[in-house]
Amino acid sequence: MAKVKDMILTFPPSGSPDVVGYMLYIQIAPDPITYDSESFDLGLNTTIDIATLPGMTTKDDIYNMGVTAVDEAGNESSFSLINDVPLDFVAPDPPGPLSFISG
Amino acid sequence: MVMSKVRLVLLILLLLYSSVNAFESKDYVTFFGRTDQHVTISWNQVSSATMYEVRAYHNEQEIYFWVGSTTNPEIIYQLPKSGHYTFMVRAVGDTWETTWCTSIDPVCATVDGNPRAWWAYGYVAPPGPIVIE
Repeated sequence: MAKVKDMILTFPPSGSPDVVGYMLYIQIAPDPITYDSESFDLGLNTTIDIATLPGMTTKDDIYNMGVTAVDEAGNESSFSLINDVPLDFVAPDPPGPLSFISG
Repeated sequence: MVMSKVRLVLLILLLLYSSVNAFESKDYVTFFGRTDQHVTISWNQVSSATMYEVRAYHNEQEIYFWVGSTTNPEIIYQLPKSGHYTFMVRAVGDTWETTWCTSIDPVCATVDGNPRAWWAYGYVAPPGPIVIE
């Protein structure tokens, strides 16, 4: 089991009073983020370790990222964006094979 | 033949009348904003009024929100959720209260000082800027 480095994403919460959660969207750069991009439900968390999100251990590329606020009716805000984020959660192969060389 | 033409003309007139009357035409001004912002609603003073009561109607969910009561001819309000809102105000005196003046009634609503129906739409505000550590 390889170990991947933490990558913490944070953002200030929306100021709207009826927000029930946040969505994170990612898209391989340079394609722009859309509401159809790969997404993750963050709940009400505004700090998240990206490495722990499902499927992240296969990501190794440059990504555009966006977060939205979701209200109780299911409406989503516009995006808060950050572009050209290098994500690399693919650990290298372990060294080996180990050999014992007797002196 | 003549009767057929008359019938056709009558039918067309009837259809035109029906289509014109099928929908009510109103020219609304829509104010767009975000629900993390505040809106200011103002109105003319009513003589001998002791206060004013204001409420908002959320059109999508068909519910009223109590905006507040005030002695001033204006009130500041943060939209509680996304959607279209119409606003209503009435004056209250010692022993009386007026009917509600509604923002979608151009008889008592104005935009830039001119009689005009209006409502407001509030969007969900996005989160703040992303930081990655």
